[in-house]
Amino acid sequence: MAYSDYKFFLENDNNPFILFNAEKRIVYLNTAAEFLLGRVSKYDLYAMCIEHAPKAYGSKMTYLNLRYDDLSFYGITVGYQDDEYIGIRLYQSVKNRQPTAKELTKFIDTDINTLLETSISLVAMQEQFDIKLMIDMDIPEFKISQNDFFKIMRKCFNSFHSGSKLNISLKLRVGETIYVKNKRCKLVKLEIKTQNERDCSEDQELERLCENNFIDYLADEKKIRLLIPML
Amino acid sequence: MIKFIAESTQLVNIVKSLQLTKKFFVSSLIVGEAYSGKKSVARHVLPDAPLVDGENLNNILDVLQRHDEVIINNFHKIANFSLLNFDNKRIIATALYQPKDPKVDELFGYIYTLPPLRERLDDAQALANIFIQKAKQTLSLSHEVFINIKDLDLNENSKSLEKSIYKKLVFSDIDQKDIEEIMYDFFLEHLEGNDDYKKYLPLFEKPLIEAGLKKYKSQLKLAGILGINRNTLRKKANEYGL
Repeated sequence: MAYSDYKFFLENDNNPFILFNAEKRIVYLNTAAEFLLGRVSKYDLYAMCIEHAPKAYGSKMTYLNLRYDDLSFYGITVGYQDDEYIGIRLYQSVKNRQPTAKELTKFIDTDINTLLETSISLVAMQEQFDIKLMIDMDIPEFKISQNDFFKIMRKCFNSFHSGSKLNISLKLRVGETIYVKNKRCKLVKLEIKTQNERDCSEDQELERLCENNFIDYLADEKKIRLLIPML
Repeated sequence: MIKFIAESTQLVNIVKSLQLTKKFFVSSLIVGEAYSGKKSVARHVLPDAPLVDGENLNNILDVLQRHDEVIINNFHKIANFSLLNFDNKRIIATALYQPKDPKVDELFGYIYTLPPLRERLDDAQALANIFIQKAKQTLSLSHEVFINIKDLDLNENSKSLEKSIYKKLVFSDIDQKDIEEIMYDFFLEHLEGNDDYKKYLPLFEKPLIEAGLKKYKSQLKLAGILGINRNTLRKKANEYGL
């Protein structure tokens, strides 16, 4: 007997899938799409659907690099079988870097609040920043490479112009986890925002450094956001 | 051993930063000119850490195996940076410059630049006071000595500072007889040509006219003081480029 409940697989797919009706309303979305919609509006996604839709009934895959907050995609498929519904599926880029056992030895139990406050004290001695700090004292200790964390913070702060007003926040990211070395890890979000434009020339280097520490790095002209796994 | 001093804002901030990160496993590099005080800073922050030199890589690797806190002097002389692993160590390294190898930036949580003493006059003055006391003891001088930091040589940081203090102190204590003795020894060693009177006369004339011009600020007045013709004085001053 053929198994026919394909929806189950769609529901649990890591790649977001959304089905719109002709009135631009969402009639179905899977779990991954729910996370996506926390980062991008449905109108933007619908607009992308229309832009990349095939000329006739059927489906069309387009390769393009998309990044919404911490989610990145390497392509989309847009398809429709009638004039009533149109669907879009986004293909998530995979970060397939897992730490070696040797690499993990540099991660030691650390209070990230203390580490962050020390980094701020250090930068305050060298640069004139107007810093507003919001931390979460309930974040428990977790494994961090202390040397790398200081290095990342040094480079982050270097990218902001002296005299800038910085809003720094550190909090637990609720409801999201990542797997590192087969261990499900909660995430801590560290964000540094400014009103002035920052120097983005070192962003690639920062991203590489973060990747070595399994930290997701996202930055634009006015913000740096780190998602740090609680190893 | 000279006690550690930090008076300038630049040095105080570096020391504070190193003290703050001391409770973590962080590696720091201090870059600065020779004799600018890098090693003293490292020793002050990690008083019990073994000190190794960048020239001996095998020794560094050996010490890193056995200790969590290490001071590495002359870090720029290390032949192969990729052999180093500072994970979960407290390292303070000192170097004349930051090596261009990208591995160096990867190794250190913090990289500090220690300005030379000539840009840290507060430290230079404090260090000079210590050197003066030390030199006075060595030279058995009891009189008070006032030396302006601007008159001292800071080109080679503490090395030239100490040397210039000794010179100033020795000079402050000599009389005419000492000068004669110095010149006597000098001539004894150097006289050898046919025209040496002309060659060595500037040794006496140049400082005499230079100091006289500084003191009296007028060639006419100085000519009177020295009891020579003012045209002769002008000619001599031009000759010595004064």
